[in-house]
Amino acid sequence: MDSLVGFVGKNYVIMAGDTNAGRSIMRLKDDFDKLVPIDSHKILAKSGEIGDGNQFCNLIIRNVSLYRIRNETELTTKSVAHYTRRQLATAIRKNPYSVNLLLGGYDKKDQKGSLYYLDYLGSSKKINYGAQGYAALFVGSILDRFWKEDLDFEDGLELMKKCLREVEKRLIIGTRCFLIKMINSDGISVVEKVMINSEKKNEIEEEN
Amino acid sequence: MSYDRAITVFSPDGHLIQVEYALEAVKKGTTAVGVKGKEVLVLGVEKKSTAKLQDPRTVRKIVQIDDHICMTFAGLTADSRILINKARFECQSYKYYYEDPIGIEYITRYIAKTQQKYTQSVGVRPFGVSTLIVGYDSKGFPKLYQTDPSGNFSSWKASCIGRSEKPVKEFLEKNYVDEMDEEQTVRLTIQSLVEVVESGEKNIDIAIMRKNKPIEFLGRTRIAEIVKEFEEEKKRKEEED
Repeated sequence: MDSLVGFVGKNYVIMAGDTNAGRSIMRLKDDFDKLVPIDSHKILAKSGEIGDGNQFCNLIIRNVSLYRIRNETELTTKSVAHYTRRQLATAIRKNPYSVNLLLGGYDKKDQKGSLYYLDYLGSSKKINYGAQGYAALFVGSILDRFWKEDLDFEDGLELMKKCLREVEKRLIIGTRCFLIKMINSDGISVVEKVMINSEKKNEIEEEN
Repeated sequence: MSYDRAITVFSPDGHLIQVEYALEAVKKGTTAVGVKGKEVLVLGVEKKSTAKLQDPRTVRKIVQIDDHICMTFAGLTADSRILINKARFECQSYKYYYEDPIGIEYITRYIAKTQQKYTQSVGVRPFGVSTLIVGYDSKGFPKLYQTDPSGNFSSWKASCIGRSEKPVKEFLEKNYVDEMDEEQTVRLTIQSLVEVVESGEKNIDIAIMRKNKPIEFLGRTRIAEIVKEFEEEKKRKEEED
């Protein structure tokens, strides 16, 4: 049900998530922020079971903070991805977390953004672009075709909106509202909260 | 029969001798001072003079426990590391459960509780450390707390721990004024240390904790400037007399 999309651009990472929180057929919340900041320059986008997502993200945030306080330095995105994956992998055969994640981060040292795909089984892969949830079915081909390395921000935002438009159009479940966030050297910023309405093409005429 | 072998034993006159010995260890440690101003907290420490070949930057006595809480200590450095580690973990643990940043009194109580535990457990000795903890409480007031090896803790306007505790405390009692601004608080802290620290301002570290701001360590040049101003003032006073 959740849709998460993300990709890496020129010195930034852009991520979007739908803002629905639901249970079976009911929409519980339509302003749910699924892009959780882990520290000043990293976002963990969560999808799946809401409770598990909350608990797991909380765990990661607290441990990343503890590392920062203890060592007076921040972890790199790669390290956080590895740590997160390790937590998921040890949990899967004991008390699994039903969460699939996209981890996006900007490292000041490399001056580059990076994106990681993590799932509840403990897989982890560094990717340039990707999605979680139903969005992945539609968005994969669009990004395959249009993603280029070092897209600047305007082009990146356009591409992201293209993806979200496709999700809105094709997913039978009403996912109209998306929250787009961006991470660059200045940190995390909310780009836009988009409401996407695909144009109604066919109108049904009422028979009198 | 000696009553200082195992810490779990009271002496006939009601003392826990091991805890008192721990306090002696603290009295051997380098001095640490904490001063509370109207809206600022300042910590000052005497740094142990490092050997020629040693990197002085690796000896840090003022540490951050959380984004909004700092502490320093006097006594056995290795023991303090354990306490600091536990405190850091507790801060994150609190935030994990309650989502709010930990309160200054809460963490002080925790550190004091830990120190007390080690005075009433099998096979362990007390921490040879007294700590000064600074931060802002939930209402936004600056707070300075002190703990000692017995597990006591109390809130102070200004306090000192370590080897020059007596003279510095006397100095603070004479010169402390309520509601000082940042400049006055920093000056008082530096002044109280300069008198007692051997080899002067190069061996002093000053840290300023402002509300909702990360801790700031005062630069070497600024400390030197302030110390110079004191010395000139002193000279002037002597010339007048």
